[in-house]
Amino acid sequence: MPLELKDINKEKVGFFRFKKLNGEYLLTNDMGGYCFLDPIEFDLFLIGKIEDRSPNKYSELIDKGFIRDRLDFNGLTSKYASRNMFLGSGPSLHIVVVTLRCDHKCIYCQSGAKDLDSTQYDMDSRTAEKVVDRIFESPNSNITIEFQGGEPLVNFDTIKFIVEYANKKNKSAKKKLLISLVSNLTYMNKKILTFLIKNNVSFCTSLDGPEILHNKNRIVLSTNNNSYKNTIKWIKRIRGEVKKHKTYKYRLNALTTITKYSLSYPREIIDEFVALGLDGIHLRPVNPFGIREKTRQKISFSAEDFLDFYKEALDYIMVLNFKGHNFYERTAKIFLQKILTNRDPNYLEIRSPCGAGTGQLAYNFNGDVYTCDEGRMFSVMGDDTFRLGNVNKNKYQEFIDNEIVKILSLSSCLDGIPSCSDCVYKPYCGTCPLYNYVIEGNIFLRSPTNDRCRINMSILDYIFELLSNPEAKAIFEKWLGIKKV
Amino acid sequence: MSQNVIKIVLNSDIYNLEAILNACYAFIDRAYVFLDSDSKGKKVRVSLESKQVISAGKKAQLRGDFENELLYCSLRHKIGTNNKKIREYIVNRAIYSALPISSEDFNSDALKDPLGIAIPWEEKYGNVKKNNAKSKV
Repeated sequence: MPLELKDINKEKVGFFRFKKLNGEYLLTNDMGGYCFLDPIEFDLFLIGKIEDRSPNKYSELIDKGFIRDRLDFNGLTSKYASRNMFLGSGPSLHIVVVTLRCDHKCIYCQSGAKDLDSTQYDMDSRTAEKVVDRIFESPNSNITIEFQGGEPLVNFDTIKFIVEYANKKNKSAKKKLLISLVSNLTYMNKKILTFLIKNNVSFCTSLDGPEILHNKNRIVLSTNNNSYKNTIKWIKRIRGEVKKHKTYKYRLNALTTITKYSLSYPREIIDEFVALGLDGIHLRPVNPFGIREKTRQKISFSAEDFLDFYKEALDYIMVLNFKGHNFYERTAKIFLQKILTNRDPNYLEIRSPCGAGTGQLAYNFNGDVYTCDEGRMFSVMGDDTFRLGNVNKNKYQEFIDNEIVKILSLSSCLDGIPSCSDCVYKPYCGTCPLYNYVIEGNIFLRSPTNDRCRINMSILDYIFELLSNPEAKAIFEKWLGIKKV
Repeated sequence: MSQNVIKIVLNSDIYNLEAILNACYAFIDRAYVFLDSDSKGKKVRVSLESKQVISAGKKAQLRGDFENELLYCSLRHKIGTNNKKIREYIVNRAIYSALPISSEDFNSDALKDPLGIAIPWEEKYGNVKKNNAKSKV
């Protein structure tokens, strides 16, 4: 007999969200706790009698804050605070576009790259100085300056200026400063590499997989250059060089963009990363920002096609891990950190509210400031909606205390969005209002028709399916550095 | 002209007026919108007139899209009302913690105390009390 609402024991049942997954009920709550119950246990939980049949489950439910008359308020409050720590910090990620010039013409380019001789799209040192001044006005004690482009190394002089000026300012500011370079490495040379290593700049490059795929996605303007070969050469060289510097503390990362052409190569892409000794891979579907509609249709794919690809890739990664490799997939790792720990990874697109303005700011070559890099990409399409001001004219406060930041925070707060506020995955998820805007013409998410929502939900379904396997869970814990007690 | 017009009657016990207005507003790029109500204010009549001549199929689609938008706006209004406190708390915290405490705030009038509010009672009235007490004796 199905239960009726009046049968629910309101003294025993704490707040929870749930869904049926593979014949069991998955329960979650705002403190990030999760628990699987079989259908009989679920009914007994609802009427407040699970203790008699499943004492272990009852203990687990108490520990995770699901039993109303056994709530540990202090413990649960500190978990909630820790999981939402990013709310009290301010922007930590500062993306600085030092130039729009680039030697590549990637099929998915979102940054509005310009020809190499268009030097008017370079950031000058006067603007760079103001950018750094504004960055250091953020109250966050952790500051990341990330160089992007175009190809940032085309304007190395400005990079050098910013690195030196930021380090100088930080002597008195005493923030935890991370400087990162996202580059295709075409213009890397020994002198630049030595400077960057000496100044503890971390490296991130783009690698889309095997040569045939990488070069199809990442086209170079010069016929003398092979993007794949150059990237591989420098990945190996940088990895070799950094080993010689004992004080250098970062490991090189590579980003992958998944286009329609990538879908046939899940294993080959991963093999490429494993062979280079990289720690993991981030399987990111191509973004719709800054790309012409015609091109977008040519290289994008359905959510279902991506999910088939993603699951095959993740299965393969798990097989490699079972064989002894320690290699992670980053989307899964972000979700797992939210599921298995109380520390939020502060991934700005998957948090509530999103990080637009409150977690990150993007600075264009001319000093224009945007809510995020995606907001800057909109300007490439001629839409300056997400521009917050200019470093030469506005104060830092004016960037944040701004209607655009407020509305993006409100629209990405999952507590106010139909479906999300009740979704079992609400404690682990987030939405990007700019993605919603470009796809559906509205910054407020409409989950039933939103591909990114479908992708996140399916990935989380799959992760929770894997979590019920103790061996897979052990691998996930290893990715997160969780030590068994 | 009338072939482009869709008329929908809504029960205001089910659909909040704010949600109806929001849903209508979302359609002003596609249709001219007119609203009216019955004398008791229990029924809201919505008239959507497509800006372009549309086929029967497109007309049905426009109606369906409006009905879905109405459901979405109703839910958003309800959830927005239910979760107002937590949303406000989260968003305020996200935004105002991102603002630095300006040094100007401390250097300016903020720390001045023209009414003497920050002066302790004993310091301000201690002697007066003693004097008053003496005078009473």
